[in-house]
Amino acid sequence: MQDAKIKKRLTKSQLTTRREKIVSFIVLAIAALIFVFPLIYMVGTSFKSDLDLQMHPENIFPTPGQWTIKHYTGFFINGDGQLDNMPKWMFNSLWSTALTCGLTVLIDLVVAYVVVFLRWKGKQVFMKSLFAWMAAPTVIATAPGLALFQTVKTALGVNNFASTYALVYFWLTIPGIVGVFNVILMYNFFKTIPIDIIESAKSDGASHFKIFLKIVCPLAKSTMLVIVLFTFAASWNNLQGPQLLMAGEGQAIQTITVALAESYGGSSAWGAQGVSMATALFSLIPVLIIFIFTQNRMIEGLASTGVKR
Amino acid sequence: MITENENIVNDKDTFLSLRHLVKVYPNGEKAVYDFDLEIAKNEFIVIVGPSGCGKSTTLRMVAGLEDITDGDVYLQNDLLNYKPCKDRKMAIVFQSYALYPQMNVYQNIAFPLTINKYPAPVVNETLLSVAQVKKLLESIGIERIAKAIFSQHSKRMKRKTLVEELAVLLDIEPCSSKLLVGLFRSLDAATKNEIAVKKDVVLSEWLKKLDEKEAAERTKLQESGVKLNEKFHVLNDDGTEKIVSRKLTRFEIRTRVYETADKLDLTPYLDKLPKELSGGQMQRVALGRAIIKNVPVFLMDEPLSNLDAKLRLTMRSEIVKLHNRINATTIYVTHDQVEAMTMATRIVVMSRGFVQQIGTPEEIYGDPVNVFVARFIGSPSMNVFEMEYDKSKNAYTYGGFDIPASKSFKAKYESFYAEKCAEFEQINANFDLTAREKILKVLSVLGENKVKAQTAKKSNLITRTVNFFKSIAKKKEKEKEDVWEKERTVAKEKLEQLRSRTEKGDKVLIGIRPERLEIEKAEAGKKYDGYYVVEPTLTELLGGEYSVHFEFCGRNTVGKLDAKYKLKAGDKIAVKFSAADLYVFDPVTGDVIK
Repeated sequence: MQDAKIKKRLTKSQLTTRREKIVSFIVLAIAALIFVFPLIYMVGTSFKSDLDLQMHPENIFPTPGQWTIKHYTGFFINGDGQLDNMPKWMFNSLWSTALTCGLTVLIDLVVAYVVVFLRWKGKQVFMKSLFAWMAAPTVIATAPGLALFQTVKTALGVNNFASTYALVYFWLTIPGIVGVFNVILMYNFFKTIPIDIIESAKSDGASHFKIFLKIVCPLAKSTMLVIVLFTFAASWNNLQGPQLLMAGEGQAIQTITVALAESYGGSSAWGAQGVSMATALFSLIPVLIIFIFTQNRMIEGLASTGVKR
Repeated sequence: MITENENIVNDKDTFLSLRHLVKVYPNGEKAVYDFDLEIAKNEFIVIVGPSGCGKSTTLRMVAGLEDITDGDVYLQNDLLNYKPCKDRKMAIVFQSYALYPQMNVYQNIAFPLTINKYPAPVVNETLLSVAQVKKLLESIGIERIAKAIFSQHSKRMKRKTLVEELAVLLDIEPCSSKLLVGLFRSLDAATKNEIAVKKDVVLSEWLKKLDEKEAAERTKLQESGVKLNEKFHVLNDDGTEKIVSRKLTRFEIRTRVYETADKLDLTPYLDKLPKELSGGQMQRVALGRAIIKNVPVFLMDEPLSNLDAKLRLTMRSEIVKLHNRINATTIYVTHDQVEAMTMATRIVVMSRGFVQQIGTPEEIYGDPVNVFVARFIGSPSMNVFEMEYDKSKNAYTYGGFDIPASKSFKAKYESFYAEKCAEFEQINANFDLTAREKILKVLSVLGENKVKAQTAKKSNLITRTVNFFKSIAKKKEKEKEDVWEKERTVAKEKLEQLRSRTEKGDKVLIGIRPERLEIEKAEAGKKYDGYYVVEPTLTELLGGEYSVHFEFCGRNTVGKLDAKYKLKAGDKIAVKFSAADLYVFDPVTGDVIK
């Protein structure tokens, strides 16, 4: 009996830590709930029946006994036995995002390597203009970009689906890959690589290409993942740009975000709301997968790019 | 061009030649002045100097990591100036080791081999392997071969690995062991198990197969008209071996990496990452990466300064042993004079970009050319104090204490100053670039008021633009301005000082090494003639001896006293300065008077 009592007695500092833990847990739980609430509502709503949607929009989850998966059923093959638009949208979003990510990482690596490890005139000016560029808000490029897009479209005589598709996605991916922030992130990381390593590789007989491929790129893995995550999130969630370019081009050309905003958002049918929620949930899957794979590296990468020297 | 030829004739035994190297950085700062050194094969050259003296810059110029502003580097009469560092046949070891952090030790050591191509003779593998296998069957017999294969085979490994292991085990080429494994696999399971019984059958079968293979290859070669020599190397039309530049195979790399790792006791760590190694191991990996390149010249940039004291001691001898074993020529940069003294065959002492002295450790220690070298080399460093030279007495005096100078010193003193006066008059009369550099060198010896080189200060874009316009406006004025004003004044001052001392004796710098001071414990009542009797300010017992500090000529002076004399507080010591051990330096230029 006495032994048990002695065991249970905690020191003062242990008590304090425990108290701190409890308080922080409560605060964080509340914060997390606020952030996650829309997501929970989305999940709940996607399982509501049409009647429930109409009668009880205030409930988070469907009325007991009225759960339905009907909004998920029409995803791939619609009621007419045709291929639904949903896979097309996912495919559009996926390949354009993947391409943007890949090209972004490649461009960032090459630019950062050239700036950090090669000697050329005007390097300082180049870096300074990059920083200056970062200060300019991206939104100001929207109107001139759109005007240019229309001009090019007319000039090239783009009128059928295939050519419109190609032009629109070219316009979406290519400007997306030159994010200055990412270049600077990579630049900062490269600056932390000791120059001795590069010089040693040089004297070992490696060309710049080999140094880039075998020494620098493997070292930059975590920064690459951070950039992939940032670019993926930005490109996947991009709404305004695609919406402007795809206006009036039909549903098949759309990305998932545009489709979510247009095809369902504008519709007033009660049933459409359920499908919209289900689609939104579905569109989160790639982001989740990317996050799961990159989160550790991302935290590590952010820490190393931000703090070191 | 004629001079070029002369050089080549003169430098018959020169291996690596650094001729009048000069480095000026883009911001106008001159880091190395006229570095001139001829290095023979197998020499261990140590460049030593305080930090920022241009020693690393010199090394980097030789390595090709830094552009050479002026001067030439020759390796066996082959101009290297414009070659990229990979073509210079040199290996560098850095202070930070510069290991590739994402690669393990094996990959780090193998890196130079994996990315380069090496010239090698073209071998006809089929014929070579047939010949080797036949020889093997004759010499050790089929039974033992089968045993060897079984012993390796049981480990359930890939065929490629098995082939390589077998090649190492039987000391044959991998193509031959591949053929052997192929032959062995073609046997059925029953024969494999009873190979001892059926060995004659199998042997004849194998020999038949080998003969067939050889015959087929021979006819093929005859048809295509390719000729081979007795080593199965493909020959050119003129009868020489055909050499092709190719990448090394995995097997070749592996053997060489293991060989190198063995030399450095690194075999147990081959699959570790650099971050899992200790400093000494990392150092050895860096050395291994340099050795495996099999190049004639090694460049080391303070490779031991990141190690702790004890390890530094062992690695020091390791490096020297390694240098001797692989017959390398080494240039080693350090700021530690002990390293320089213990390792070098020749030492180069540098200060502020100037080479102060080049010589063997004995020369540098026993015969320093100026006060900088004298102070820098030796531990504890040389005692240097100012005394007056009395010409009439031919002795150095300070506060009534006399040290007699050697008999011939007076003549030396006079001729030295006559010479120096003439030199400085020449400098003042014609103050050009070389004269200015002479003045800078004198200042570097004495370590006094450093004349600032024209360095561009780090400035932002706006001030730089403003300065640019200002400089345009002021261009004409600037031409009139004397940029060497300071140096000119220094030169004039020095000349005046030199002139003033020729008439009568004057102050000189006297140096003596602590270990050459003759110190005794002074006993009360005893008379010490010619000795300087003083109470030490500090005595440190170093075990076998005391390090005794005392005041002399207003300077703290260090000497050594055997520990058998027990020194107590209040005890006095008697110090004798013998003329033979004294170094006399001129305080104006810092050069030794002899």
